[in-house]
Amino acid sequence: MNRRTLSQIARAITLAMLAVVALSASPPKPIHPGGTNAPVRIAIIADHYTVEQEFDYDVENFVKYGVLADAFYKQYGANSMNITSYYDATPAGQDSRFGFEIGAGDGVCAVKAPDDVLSKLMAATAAATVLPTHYVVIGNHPYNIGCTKGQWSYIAVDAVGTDVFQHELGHLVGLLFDEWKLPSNGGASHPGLISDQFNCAPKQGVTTPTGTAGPPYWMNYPAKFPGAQALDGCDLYAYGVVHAFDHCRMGAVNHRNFCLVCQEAMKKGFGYVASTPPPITPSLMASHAPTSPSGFRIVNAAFVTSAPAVQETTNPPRPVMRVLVEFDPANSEAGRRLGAKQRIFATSVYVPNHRRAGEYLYEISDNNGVRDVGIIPDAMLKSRSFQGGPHTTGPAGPVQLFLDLPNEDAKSANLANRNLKVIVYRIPRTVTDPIITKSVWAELQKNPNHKFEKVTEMLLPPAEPPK
Amino acid sequence: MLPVRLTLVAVAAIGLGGYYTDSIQPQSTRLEIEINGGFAYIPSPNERTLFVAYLNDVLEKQDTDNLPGTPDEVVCDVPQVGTELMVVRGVVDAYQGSQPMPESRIFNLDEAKVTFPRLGGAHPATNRSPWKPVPPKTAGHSDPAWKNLQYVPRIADHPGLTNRKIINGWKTDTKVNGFMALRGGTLEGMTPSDPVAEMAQFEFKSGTLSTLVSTTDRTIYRVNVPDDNVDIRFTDSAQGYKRLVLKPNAPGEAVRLRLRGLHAMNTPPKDGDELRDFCAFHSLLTPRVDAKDYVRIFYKAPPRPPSGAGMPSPGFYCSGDWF
Repeated sequence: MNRRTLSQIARAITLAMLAVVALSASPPKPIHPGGTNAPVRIAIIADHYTVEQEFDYDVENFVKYGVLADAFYKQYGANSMNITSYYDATPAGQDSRFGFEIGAGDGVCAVKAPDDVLSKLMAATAAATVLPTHYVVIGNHPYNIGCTKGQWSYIAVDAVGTDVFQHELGHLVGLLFDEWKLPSNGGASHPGLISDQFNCAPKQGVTTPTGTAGPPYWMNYPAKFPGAQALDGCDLYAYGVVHAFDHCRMGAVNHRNFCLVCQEAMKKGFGYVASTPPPITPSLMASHAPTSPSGFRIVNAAFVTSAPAVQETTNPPRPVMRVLVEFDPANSEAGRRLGAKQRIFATSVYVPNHRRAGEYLYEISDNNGVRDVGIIPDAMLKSRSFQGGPHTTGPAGPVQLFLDLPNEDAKSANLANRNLKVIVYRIPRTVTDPIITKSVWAELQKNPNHKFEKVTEMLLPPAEPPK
Repeated sequence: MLPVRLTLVAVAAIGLGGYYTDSIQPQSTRLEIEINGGFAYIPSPNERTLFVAYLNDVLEKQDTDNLPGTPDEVVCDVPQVGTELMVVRGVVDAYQGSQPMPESRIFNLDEAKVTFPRLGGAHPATNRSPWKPVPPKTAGHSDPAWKNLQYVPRIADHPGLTNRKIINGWKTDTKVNGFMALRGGTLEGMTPSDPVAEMAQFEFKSGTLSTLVSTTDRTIYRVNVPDDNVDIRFTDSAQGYKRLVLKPNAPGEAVRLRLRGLHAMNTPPKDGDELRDFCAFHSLLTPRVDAKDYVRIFYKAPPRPPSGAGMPSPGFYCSGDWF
């Protein structure tokens, strides 16, 4: 082999390396550290960008000059939010690398997501050093729109400078409803709220599964919610439901503040009124050092930043196994209602949702008993499918969502004969507790007045689930 | 090897070349302003200026029944929410005002007259075909068809109203809240801010005439400012803003601003709803337009694909008017 040949090989290798670098995603960028154990961890993901610098500018506009310049978020959210951005270019000719379709949508959202969007977002954040709890996709399309479903939001770039991001975080973090009315719902009454602990409540006198609705809960706390009323309309319906204030960013008119009722829900979302997570139980774990399962990447949650961080000692990072599941409660075969698609391991803050934000509760258990419980927010299942009539609540089809299992690393999860499983129950409306923790759940099960329907059960095999 | 003397000459020449470049070649900064919302576009050839005006609340009453004893009827009631100027790209080099600069870099333009002292030259170039029914545009952000300013409605294009002019003294009229003055550069139409509106049609009704057209609520102004920064002056700002100087984030990049009119429309319209705010522009015309002759715009929803889900952001858009 002569010198020229070596030179050509070296050049080819260099070009190949450059090509690999050009094609690979940029590393995650810490945008706002928040507390190191921030319960709300937002991944901002680029879509339809070709220039990383443009994405960085837009992220700065949405975060630094947007949400963090907002008085409420600055006071209550700054220490509770960890924000990281993820850039990767979208190939030429594609409107979205995730399959989002921009257009007329269904009359509700002007953007439509593919069914497996969470799986794609999970892959896009595979290099995460912090396990995201919420995904915000910034679409580089010249529109002023936003849409939220379950754990993700899509915001088009020209919504910058508006209140769209702050409004969508109201859905994501506070599990808040829209307080405006969709004209297309016409005179139809709301089909029924699962929970009235947020910013919508049944109108007084409306028949509910638990009896005739009284005044909305906020009317019972005049000191906490001074000036609150029972104003017609909420959750896109004009009738059968009420909201509390006519000035709120969850409403339709330009009001760039949360009302007092929504503020309370947001504070809960930010963990200011948090239920206590279970203690770390190292005895179960074979090792604190996560080990890579074959075919999937380990992510460590050590968030490295030069900015000072607020240390929260009540909920330290721990091993967490995140399982991407497909939940199809309407499936006629109980065994097919819940299936694992992917899983990752991380050392991260564990923030279970104990808020009664939906009708399904999942219980994590093994041979040692119940490990923890969580609620699947109704917002993840609610279909806004709209074709001329009123939209309906309830599952319209399989949805993907994440279930986080605390104190599990790759070795513990792979131990055989543990009988590690997830059981999903439907919570009857006789249960009115706004917070359902493991201890509350134990008490509720003892109460013969509550009939819990076991929806499905899924054994978590000690191996990587099929993708 | 070059002789030493020649090398010195070469160095001197390079140095002079550098000096020449720095001192003679004019510096310029690209400025782009996206104008989004229900503004009054008022060309003023004599002043070589295009004014983009924002209105105060409009409450127009007219004697619609010609009966002297009856009260006048409200024919147009448009509460104004506000107008904002946002810095989308650029670094703040200087700011003067009686209040601290907004942390969000969004400036409330209440009562402000916004000017750019370094802009000069001709009236901005505007490509606007005479109004005619135009077919709806399909969604697609790269579609250049929106560039034509014919997609910005113009009341005075409609039969029976072609003799209408902007009222004299409009700049100080109580109907006008403030304006931005633009000189030089170009103004073009832009894709509507909402993809639903982009695919929708709008029915313009004037008297007995009815026409289906597309409209946009956005335009974009581009100009090269002959300086290394963009100097913005605020006169009569209710917020106390006086001056804002911006530089590009990086050499060669544009300073980008967004002038945004807020609107009070509660929810997206449903098929057949009137975009009621548009009536406000009639109040700026002379001779006065009778309410029965108003140009009214009705929303015609696009066909909906069969599926989709989620929780959307509320709101819709207001188109401007060309005077």
